[in-house]
Amino acid sequence: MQSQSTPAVILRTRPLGEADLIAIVLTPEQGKLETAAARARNSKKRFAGGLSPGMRGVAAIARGRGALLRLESFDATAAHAPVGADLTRFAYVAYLCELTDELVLARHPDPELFAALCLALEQVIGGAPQALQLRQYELALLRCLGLSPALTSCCVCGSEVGSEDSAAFDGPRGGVLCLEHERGAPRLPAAALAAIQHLEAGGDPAALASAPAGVRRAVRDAIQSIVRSHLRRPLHAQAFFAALPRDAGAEGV
Amino acid sequence: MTGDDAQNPLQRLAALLTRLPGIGEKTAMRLALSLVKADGDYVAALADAIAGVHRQLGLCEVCFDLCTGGACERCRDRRRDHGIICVVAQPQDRMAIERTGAYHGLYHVLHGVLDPLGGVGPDELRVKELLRRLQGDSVREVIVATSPNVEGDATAVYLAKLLRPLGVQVSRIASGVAVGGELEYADMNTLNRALADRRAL
Repeated sequence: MQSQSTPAVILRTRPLGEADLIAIVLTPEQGKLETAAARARNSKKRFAGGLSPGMRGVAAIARGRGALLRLESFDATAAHAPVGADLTRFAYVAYLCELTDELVLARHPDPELFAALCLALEQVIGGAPQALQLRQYELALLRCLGLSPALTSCCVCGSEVGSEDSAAFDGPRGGVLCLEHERGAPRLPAAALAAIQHLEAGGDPAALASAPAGVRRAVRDAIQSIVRSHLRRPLHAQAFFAALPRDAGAEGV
Repeated sequence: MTGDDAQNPLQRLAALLTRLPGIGEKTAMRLALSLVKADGDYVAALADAIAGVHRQLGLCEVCFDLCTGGACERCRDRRRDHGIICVVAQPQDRMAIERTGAYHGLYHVLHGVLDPLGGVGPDELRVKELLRRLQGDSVREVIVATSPNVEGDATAVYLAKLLRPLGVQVSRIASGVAVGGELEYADMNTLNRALADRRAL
C-alpha cells in the first residue's frame, strides 16, 4: 500500500526483534500513532540519523498487516544532535516526549498540540533550555486536552477571584478558588499566578527568567500538581533528571 | 502454545527458539527440524555448548566484559596499554573495536547507556566501578566509545563531567560521514556532526 508523508515527532521507540523498532509518533492530522519501523536500527537510508525521542521530521507511514502501521522512512528536518550534548536538554526533551505520550490518546489528531510540542522542542533544542519552556508546554497540553486550570475565576463556582498577595490554588480541583471554596487549599503567590497567566497567554518564557527562584518553583509546583493528577504513574524522565549531576541554574523537570 | 503443543518436543523446541533475538516462528521451526535431522553427536555438542555458555560465562571483575571467571584475558594481558580505558556500552561493542586490531588498551563495559524513557539512569550503569578503576594515577586517558546517537552522546557527556575533575583525559570516538559514503546522501544530523567534529589536516 502507498505510504503517506506527514510531519511527525518521534515520542518513543522500543526494540522489536533484532533490528526493528516500534516507534510512537505524533502527527498533526492523524494524532499519536504506533508504527513498526522495519530494520530501523541498521538502515542508513530510510532512517538516516536514527529515530530518537524528540526528533522532528517527515515520516512516510503506510498501513501494515493488522492494526499496526508501518513507518517506511523518517527524514529529520531539524537538528537533533544538540540533545545528546547537554544533559539538561537531554532530560527536558525526554520529559516533553514522555508527558505527551502518557497524556495524549492514540489517533486523536490535534494540530494545535502538534505545533505546541514542536515549539517547545525548538525552544529546548535550538536555544538555551529553561524549565519555564516546559511549564508553557504543560499549559498548552492541558489546554488541548480540555484541562486548562482556572486562573481568574473560582474553579468550583466560577466567581471572580480578587487580586491579593496570593490566591488559593488547588491543581487537582482545577485552579484558583474563591474565599468560599478555598478551605485547606495551598496558597499561590500573586507573582506566580501572574507568571502562569503570562505563559498560558503564549508569552515568552524567557521574560520570566529573572523571576525569583521561589516564584519559578511555585509556578512549577502549581502546574505540576495539575499534571500529576492526570498521570497514571510518575514519569521516568523526572526520576532521571533527579539522578543527574545538576548544572548551575538548571531547574528540575 | 497449547497443552498438546507443550508435550510435543518439536513444538517445545521451536517455542523456546522463538525467544531468541531475530528468530521468528518459521525460522524457529526450520531450525528445530534441522536439529531433528542432525546427527546425535552434533546435537549433544550443541546442547552442551548452550548449557556451558550460561554456566561458565560471567562478568570480568575488572572491566565487566563477558569472561569465564575472575579477570578477562585482556585485563590480564601485560602487553596491553593499561593507561588507556575504552568505555563501551555492551560486550558486542568491545568485540567490534577489538576486531579492528587498532586498539591495544583496556576496556570497561557499562552494560547500557543513559535512557530516560527506558528508566536507565546513572545508577543502572557500571559507572561506580569505572570510577573505582581510576583511583590511583595509572590511567591517563578514557576513550568513550558509546554509539554516536543521542543516548550514547549523553552518556559520554555524563562520563566526561564525572571523570574530568579526576585529572584523566577524556576523549570521544570520532563520528560523521561513513567511510566510503557520499556526502550528497548523508542526512543533516550526520553532516552537522561531521562538520562539528572536523579536524585539521
